[in-house]
Amino acid sequence: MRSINPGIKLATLIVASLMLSLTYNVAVNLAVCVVCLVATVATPGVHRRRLVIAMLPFALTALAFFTTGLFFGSGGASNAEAVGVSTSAFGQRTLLATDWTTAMQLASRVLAYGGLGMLFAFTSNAFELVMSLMQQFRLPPKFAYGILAAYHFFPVVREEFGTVGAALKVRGVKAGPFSTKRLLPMLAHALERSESLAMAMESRGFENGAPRRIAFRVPLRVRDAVFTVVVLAAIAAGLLLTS
Amino acid sequence: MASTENKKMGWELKEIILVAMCCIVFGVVYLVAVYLSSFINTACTPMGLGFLGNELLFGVWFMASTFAAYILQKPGVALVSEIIAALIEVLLGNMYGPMVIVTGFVQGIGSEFAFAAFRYRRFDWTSMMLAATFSCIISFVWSFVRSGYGELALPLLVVFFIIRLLSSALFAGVICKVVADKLARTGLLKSYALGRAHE
Repeated sequence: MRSINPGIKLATLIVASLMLSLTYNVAVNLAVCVVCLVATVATPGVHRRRLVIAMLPFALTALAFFTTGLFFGSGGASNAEAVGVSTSAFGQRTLLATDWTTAMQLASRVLAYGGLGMLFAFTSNAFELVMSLMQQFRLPPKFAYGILAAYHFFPVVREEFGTVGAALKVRGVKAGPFSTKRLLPMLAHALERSESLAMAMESRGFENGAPRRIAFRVPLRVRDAVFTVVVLAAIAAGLLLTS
Repeated sequence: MASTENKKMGWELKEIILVAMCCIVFGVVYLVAVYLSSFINTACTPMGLGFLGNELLFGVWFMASTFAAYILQKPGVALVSEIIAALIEVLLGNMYGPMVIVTGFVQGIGSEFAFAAFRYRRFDWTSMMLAATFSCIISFVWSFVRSGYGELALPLLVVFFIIRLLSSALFAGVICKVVADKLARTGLLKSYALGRAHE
């Protein structure tokens, strides 16, 4: 999985997700999820405990969709008048079996997206993805390198979030995560940083129009085409056969 | 304003990095908020309302787009910055993976359309709120495709829609505009359209 061109992999998985999003096929959704997870685990070097932790929000979201579909499916609309009125009514609701299909359809789809997402996230490298988008998908170099430069500031910004929060606390200011008091210093730093970054890149001769050589080539091989064809054909076949 | 219209479509490197950097700031804030909202989600799941927390924070997804458009005030900024935001999400290993890019594209079209409706001349409360509203509407339509909202009962959808509308008005409309105006007052935005407008 790792050796597949990340740009191609991204495009393939987007098409695969779109195919699944246009249909409601529980069996195919679940199969996609299982196959993706197996493929992810089978890839050497994948951190298994992190995979399980990453799957947890998915399981919760799928469960959320499941209960939403179960209680508020369009088939069971007769029960749903109480939605906007009061939540205490929900406690009295008995489980009606009518909407199990809706619930399964919604939840299994979340799981399928989860599988596809995990397959991508755990077997791809951010740098290679951007390089591949630049080399095979004509992403302009100034976007590619600009995005990568900013991307590497993620840990710094994450730390800054805590620092700014602590600074506000010391001064006795209460600020939620979206308070402008917190956003303002963070964005101010981001602005200064982006300007000096851009200046640094340009002063080192980074120009968009200039001819570039590429040190890291992301190859495009036969196996990428095979991957695309196999994945999409398998999903198409699954959708056709089980419908 | 005339100076912004001279160099219409071109992106400068520092603008790209600015947008990407702001996406990262919003991304970090969002991560913390998601952590908080998963609490609401889990609490609401047994009642079949587990998706509520998601809808509450949905507006955060549009922030990059309206914020960047408001600062740079050029055609295409809203759309491109939303795609950049999505790409960064993917780079950071967003759990929804590749699909995020499509979602980003769809949402970007929403706010881009709002600014285009004013022919990129108006960047004020009206156009910001309109951008937030359009992103909300188009992303809601997209939810029908992506998350199968068509399977849900109408009253619930109405509740979801209202929550999402409020969320996007608050985050992408109000917070973005207030913060950007405050930033402009500090003088940091002098070399961008918004900073020039504030002089």
